[in-house]
Amino acid sequence: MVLTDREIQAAIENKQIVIDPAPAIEAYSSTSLDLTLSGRLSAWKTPKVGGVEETTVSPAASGYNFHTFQKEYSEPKEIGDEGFILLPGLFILGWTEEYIHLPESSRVAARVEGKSSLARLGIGIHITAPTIHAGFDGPIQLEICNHGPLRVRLLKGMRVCQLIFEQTLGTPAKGYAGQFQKQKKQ
Amino acid sequence: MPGTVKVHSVEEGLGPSEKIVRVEDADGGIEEIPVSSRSIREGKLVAAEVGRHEGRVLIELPRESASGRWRIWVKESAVA
Repeated sequence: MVLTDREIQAAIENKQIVIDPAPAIEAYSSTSLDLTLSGRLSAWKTPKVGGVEETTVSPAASGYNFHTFQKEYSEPKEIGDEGFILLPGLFILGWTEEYIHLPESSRVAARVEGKSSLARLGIGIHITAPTIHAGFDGPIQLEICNHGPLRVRLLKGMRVCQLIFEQTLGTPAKGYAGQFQKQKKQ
Repeated sequence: MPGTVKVHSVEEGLGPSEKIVRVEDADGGIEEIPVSSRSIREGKLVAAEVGRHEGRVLIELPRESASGRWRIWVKESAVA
């Protein structure tokens, strides 16, 4: 079942859902809660095709070390006062300003979804990984891609995504300890 | 039961039966909202009141606005 605005607010008051900073009442809709974009972005460096820097990443290979890979190939970006221009076709990682915690005992999970105001311009904010599992603890990583033909300016603090909260049937058998718990802004 | 809010203007939208309505918020700013033509009743936008505070009314829009808002504060005089 999807939680309504009143149920989300009650869950926050009872600390069954933790959101920091706490959302303003304007951030709700009847069945969702808007979150905002933090100032930190992370871009993948573009390997030279056909050159000595050409790189193939093999995430399913034995010995794959994401930490080492990201250190070498990611490039932190800060959204300045003028914003960050997302060029057509560009992919970039971002994070919500809000810190989210869904205690397992709360029997709540969520889905992060894009916003129609951005979608109509060609901006997607996740790539096939929208589930915020029960037990999640951290800011939400966004996989932002400009699928459209326009240059789109991203601003720090803009409404970038929405959370749909759902009640789980029962409590998970063990605490969530996935590798992406406490996702850090790179 | 949703009420209605005054609109500044109604223009044609991108999709079939889509209109772009412009609503003035409590601070004088303009919010543009792409909506179904069915969300316009007698020249006003159908919107649900979700709160009141010091002469302002918080309304939930029928669709997300162009700036990404679902809820905006408007003046009491703008709602019916």
